Amino acid sequence: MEDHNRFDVCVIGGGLMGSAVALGLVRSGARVLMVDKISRLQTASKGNFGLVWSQSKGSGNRDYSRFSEKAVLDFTDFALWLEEESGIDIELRLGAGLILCIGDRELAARTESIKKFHHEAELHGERHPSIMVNQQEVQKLVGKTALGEEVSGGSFSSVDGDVNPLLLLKAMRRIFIKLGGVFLGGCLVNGIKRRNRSYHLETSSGKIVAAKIVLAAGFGNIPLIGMMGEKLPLIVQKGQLLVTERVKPFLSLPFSCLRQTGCGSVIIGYTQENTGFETGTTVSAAVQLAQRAVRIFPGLRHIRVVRSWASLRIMTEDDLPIYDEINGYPGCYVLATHSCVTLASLHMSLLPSWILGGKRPDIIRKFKLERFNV
Amino acid sequence: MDRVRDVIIIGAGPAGLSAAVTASGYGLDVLVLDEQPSPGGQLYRNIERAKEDTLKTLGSDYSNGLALVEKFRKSGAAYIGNAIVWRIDPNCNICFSAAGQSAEISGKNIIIAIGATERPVPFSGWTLPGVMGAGAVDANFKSSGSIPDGPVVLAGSGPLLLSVVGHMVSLGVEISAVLDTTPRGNIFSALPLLPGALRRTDYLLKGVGMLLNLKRSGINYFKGITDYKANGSDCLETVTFKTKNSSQQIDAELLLVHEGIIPRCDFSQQIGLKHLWDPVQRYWYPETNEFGGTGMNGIYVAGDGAFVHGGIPAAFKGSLAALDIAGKLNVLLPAQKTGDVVMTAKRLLSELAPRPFVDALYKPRMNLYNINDETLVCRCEEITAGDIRQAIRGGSREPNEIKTITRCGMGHCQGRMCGIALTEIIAENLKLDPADLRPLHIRPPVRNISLAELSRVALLKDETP
Amino acid sequence: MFKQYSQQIDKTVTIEFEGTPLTVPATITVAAAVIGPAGQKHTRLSPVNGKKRAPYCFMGVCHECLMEIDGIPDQQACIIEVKEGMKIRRQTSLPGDVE
Repeated sequence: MEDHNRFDVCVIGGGLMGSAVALGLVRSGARVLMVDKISRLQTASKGNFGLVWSQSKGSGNRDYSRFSEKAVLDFTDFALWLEEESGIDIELRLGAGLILCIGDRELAARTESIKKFHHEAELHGERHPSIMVNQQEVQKLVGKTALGEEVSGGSFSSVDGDVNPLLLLKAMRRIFIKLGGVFLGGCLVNGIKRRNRSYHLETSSGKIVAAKIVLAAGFGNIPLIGMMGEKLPLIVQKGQLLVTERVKPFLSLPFSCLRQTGCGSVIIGYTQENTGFETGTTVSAAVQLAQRAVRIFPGLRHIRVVRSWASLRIMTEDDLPIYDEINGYPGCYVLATHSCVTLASLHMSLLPSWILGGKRPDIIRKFKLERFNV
Repeated sequence: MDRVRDVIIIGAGPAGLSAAVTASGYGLDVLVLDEQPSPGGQLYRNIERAKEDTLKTLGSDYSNGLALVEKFRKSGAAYIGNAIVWRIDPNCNICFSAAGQSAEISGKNIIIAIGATERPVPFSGWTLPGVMGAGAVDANFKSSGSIPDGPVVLAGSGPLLLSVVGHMVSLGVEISAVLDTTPRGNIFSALPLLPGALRRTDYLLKGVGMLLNLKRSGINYFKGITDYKANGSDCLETVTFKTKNSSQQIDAELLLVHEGIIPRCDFSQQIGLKHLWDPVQRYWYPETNEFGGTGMNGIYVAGDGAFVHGGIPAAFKGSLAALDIAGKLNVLLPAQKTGDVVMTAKRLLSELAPRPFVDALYKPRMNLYNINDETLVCRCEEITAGDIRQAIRGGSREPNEIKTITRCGMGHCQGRMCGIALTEIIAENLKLDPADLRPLHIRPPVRNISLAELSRVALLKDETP
Repeated sequence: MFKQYSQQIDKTVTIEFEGTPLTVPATITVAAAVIGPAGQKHTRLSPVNGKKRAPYCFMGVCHECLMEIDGIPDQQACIIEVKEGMKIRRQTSLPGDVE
């Protein structure tokens, strides 16, 4: 373990959050260790849907909308860089994303929501990048694959898109290691102590010492921050997904509830359930997801479902991220959000300089723990 | 159809049929769901319709099944063939598909009795048409009366390999060679276990007889083979193999491979039961008690799906599960239950006597998973051993994590074919004990179903009371 | 790759393999019919790279025998029996077409 015991930063959590930040840190020249435990529950990074998405982010909070929009806009260059450095094509598609509505009620609710986004943007002299589209316009966007009769329209963004989240994770980890970062899988952190201006971690892989630590372990952050006597007000939301066999390309843009991946599988999502820390699937949810999928594209009827799974989304009361330095623990940062695919570009580019001692970026100034009064 | 049963049994092999007979005998309401067109499982596959010559060729190991299937048919247990179970829930609900329609049903108890399968071992060329399991050829003969047409090479290790060789000989199939990979040293670790096995000399004599027949048949029989390969562009053309001193190549129409038998854990894994690793036979099996009961109330695993002991023991294991359920449902008085259990357990124990010896004698060879980087491990997603090793070098150390990084195990078969190889490759590269790893998740639907069928599942809660 | 062992004359059915009528014993599996009487070596093409694949396990585990049977894709041919008039097709690389 000699190599592992003295680092500038130890990032706890090797998912999409941890990997993006660790990559940014190592790129800034820091000596970085990233540790990841094997979670009993399907982690958010491995179970998610893969949208790079801003059109529905930050209702009532222009800061978060703006942050998400910037992340999406930055994603193209980010992906190019990832591909260049890792040799992995992360299957990024940007420039079209749709939230689809079935029936009049869904359409009316969506219209109302988009109106609100536009209003909030205008108040700041900005523009929200989405528009409402009707059934015919959706059909035109989709092309020749026939939409079901009940499809009523949706909201369309010309900046949103999708990515293969597993390849994104793989690419970030690969470059992290290539640039000299050290990754330790299967490592569980059991204790955190601050001594002599550095952090001493007791782990299942031995002792680790780092000048700074970053808590990026999703729900694993709750026990970690507990070791410092703090609380983290995260809310668990379960999402179930279906995935089909590979099919011929039929859908070139992602819907928020259905997308075709690079290899041809269709992912159908997703439920939003509050059932606590468990990742069981239910047949009733699978049935509902299947029903919706064939209502959207009747041609999917005979396509075979090969898997379903559930994973936990990391939510907060106000849906906004948490990026903060912990009170009384200088150099200990906690990061948590449900949107680690979309925000990956900014997590890599924006957070490291702050963590390494620079100024807290203005754009994230409001995403502090203190807003929860815990 | 009655959608709530006392016992639902998945699988109509020796364990499932025997469980059904026992449970029905105590008046329980039993339903057996099986994927095959007729009862029998793999061992007694298609037995009700077997022709005279099939029965003769396969001998009493096969024909013994007739009596069991007959008892089952008379038992009063309900039976649905061609039924594909695709999901089990811990509350004992089951989803299955039959004739293109799926329904959810419920049991007070479920017995998972889906048996065993041949251990899939990746090797160079194993995806070529013309390469298949040795047991697969037996299965094809039982169900369809088909036999290999053209020269056959058989390779691997284990009693079933010898038994298939015997069948091929009696069926007049042209055998180019038998490549036995059983390590020569196994006999030394097995010998101390021989006294226990001598309690059932009938089994041992049968084994010795198979070997003698093989030698007498004049077939090219190579012992101590360490490596074999299938070659061909579109399909199998030749088999190459290494003996201690030389390399050889043989033309073949079919290469039939057998590297032992492992439990089918489809449902035990899907439902999330705890699995243990057997260090001798090197496979995952669900943790069960003496009745096949598991950590989940009402969920039983019986037969070879719980641990590979063979067909006759499987039948006793099925009965034990049924007896436990009968006791719990109060149709069997405690004293009577104890008597029946003691008797069944005793007979099971006698059947198991030779097992430790046989398992040690046919312990898989050490280099079984020394797979070169170019060889496909995951047949569905075409993931090579090299892809897996690269992920391990990247810091991943757990099968399910490597699945997400490489797609190994993400295809139609959900890791049934690559799961053990993946475990072994990780263990070998990281110098870990496989027992410390966790098997790949199997996610519902365990067998693929169409979106239309899924969208129309008759759910239990939809039923008006 | 395979032939029928028994010389006994069985009940037969007529199926269609890739549009061609074929008379086969009435109680054999679809997979057995394809690699036996139909004279084929492979049952499908890999959806990843289009290479030829054939049944491996013959007991519903390996999923190499997935075929289109009576218009329904991804059927496990090794556990399904032939029926009079059954139409069997091999799956090309990507079975699904969402039209």
